[in-house]
Amino acid sequence: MSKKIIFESSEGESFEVDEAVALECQTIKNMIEDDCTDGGIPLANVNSATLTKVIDYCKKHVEAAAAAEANAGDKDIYGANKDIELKTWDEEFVKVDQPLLFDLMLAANFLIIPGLLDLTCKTMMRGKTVLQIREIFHIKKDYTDAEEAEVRKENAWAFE
Amino acid sequence: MDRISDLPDETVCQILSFLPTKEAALTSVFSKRWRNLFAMSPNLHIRFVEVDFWKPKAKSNMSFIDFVDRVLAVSSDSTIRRFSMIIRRSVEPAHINRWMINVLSRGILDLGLDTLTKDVITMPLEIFTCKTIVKLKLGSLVKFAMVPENAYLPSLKTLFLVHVRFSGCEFEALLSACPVLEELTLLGCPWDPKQCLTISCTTLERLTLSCKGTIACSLPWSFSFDTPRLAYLNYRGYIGDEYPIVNLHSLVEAKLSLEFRGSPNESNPMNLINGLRNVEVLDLSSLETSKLLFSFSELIPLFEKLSRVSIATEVQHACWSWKFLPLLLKKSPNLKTLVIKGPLHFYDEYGEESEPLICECLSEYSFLSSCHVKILEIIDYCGTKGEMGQMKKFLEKLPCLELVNIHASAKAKLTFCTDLQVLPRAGNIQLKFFSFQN
Repeated sequence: MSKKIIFESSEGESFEVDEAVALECQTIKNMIEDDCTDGGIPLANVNSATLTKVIDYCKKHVEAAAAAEANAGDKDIYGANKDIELKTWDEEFVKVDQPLLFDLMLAANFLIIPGLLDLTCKTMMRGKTVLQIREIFHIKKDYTDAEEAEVRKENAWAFE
Repeated sequence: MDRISDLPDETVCQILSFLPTKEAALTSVFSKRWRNLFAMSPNLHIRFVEVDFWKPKAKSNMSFIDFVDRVLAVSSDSTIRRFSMIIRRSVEPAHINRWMINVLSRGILDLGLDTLTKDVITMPLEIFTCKTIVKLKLGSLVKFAMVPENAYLPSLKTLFLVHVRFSGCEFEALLSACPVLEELTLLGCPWDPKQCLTISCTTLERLTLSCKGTIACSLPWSFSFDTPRLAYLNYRGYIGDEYPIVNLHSLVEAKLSLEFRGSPNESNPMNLINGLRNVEVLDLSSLETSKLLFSFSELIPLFEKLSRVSIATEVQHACWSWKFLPLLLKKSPNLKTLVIKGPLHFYDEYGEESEPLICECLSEYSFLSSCHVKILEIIDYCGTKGEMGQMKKFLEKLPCLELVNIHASAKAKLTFCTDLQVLPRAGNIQLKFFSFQN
């Protein structure tokens, strides 16, 4: 039987996952290598709802990688389809409300899951105007109008 | 609540690094903190692609040049891990050269330059002495003027050249400057056709070579592969006139899509064909490849390790794959999987109406009984009478067959599924159907 790793969410809830799934997180991988995962890993800044999603993501990607491995010789036939399937799954996966998406991004950043960070960042940014991004992140403008005009001029090509 | 403010600058840069740099730059107006964050990103992706090309007078490109100059100046001492630049508008080579020299000195790991501008970009000499670069991808109107004597790329593992201009000896000099190169892709490289191209690299594991349509027909042309560790070869285009050196001892997988450049009599691919004898996976991706190999039947070696063959087929009558297949199967004593990348038989316009006429394309099928194929896969089964007849023979004659995977369009599948199910077959043979939309 494979080794289990126990995560503890910010609410104190325990989540048991296969080591292979936990290894998707670079941060956890380092901890496992340093042998300091006994008695569970407390994740004080990841809540249960987010952690559930993160584990779903890692599980799916471990399974997909295993399936791809098994069909390695069939890459020309199945490879493309599997990729599309996983991509579709990813797209469905991030169809969540904005606060959860943000939490997922922070968790991916903290746990170092490059694929998930990439996915959430892209989703966060996709199709957004600057005003929308500013709104999502609640960023307060501290430029004067003159300063802002200067910044726009600096990067004129981007604002064309 | 400004949640992103809790994140350190590096993380914000990381988030921004997933955006094209032009979009990331829009965040500069957020607040003072954001003013230059986008430019500090370790990954810069810059695309300058004309979208309004129908406009008679394109806008000046000065704002673009200023933008790139500023981004590189703002991030002056920080590391740039990845830099990719795609240009489809006229930008003077001097600017591109300046940017390349800049990023090459910034600890770059992954550099991509794809330009299709008015002028040919001559790569700066700095590109041949970059100690950090791991992956280099150059495309379109780029050329190497010369490879300097002190060329040395100690970290370069992946080299990708698309339509890059160089001569054979420059290319050889470049390869010898790459002590750890693992993957090489050469697509449509217009090297001097009078020369031989020698790919000599002891560390190379993967090679993709495509050379079609760029070479004048009358000139002699030869290739050498001195790549003892090569495991994967994807070779497309015209075959050379000769292959003086072929060292492919470690080759595991070969994907071929080859054709004659002129008359078959002018080519001598003996060394190449013989060099393939250790492959375990062979993919003949075009009908022309089967035709070519069939015309050198006497050169086909015994493929002792070959366990998987994919062969392209088409509906047209003159399908060489069927002519070549019997020979290939005879020469592959350990074959386990046979993939027919197309229909199982060509479309027989007369046979369709009359009695199912099984052609001689597989010469009485007697060779099948000595073949150990366990898995048969048909990628585009159409359900014609010819295919049905062919399938019947395969089911009957292949002694070790266990599984037949049949891919067909959803529409075609409805019509033949039951017909196939009732074909006589040994009890342990499983038929599986997969449908695709077309």
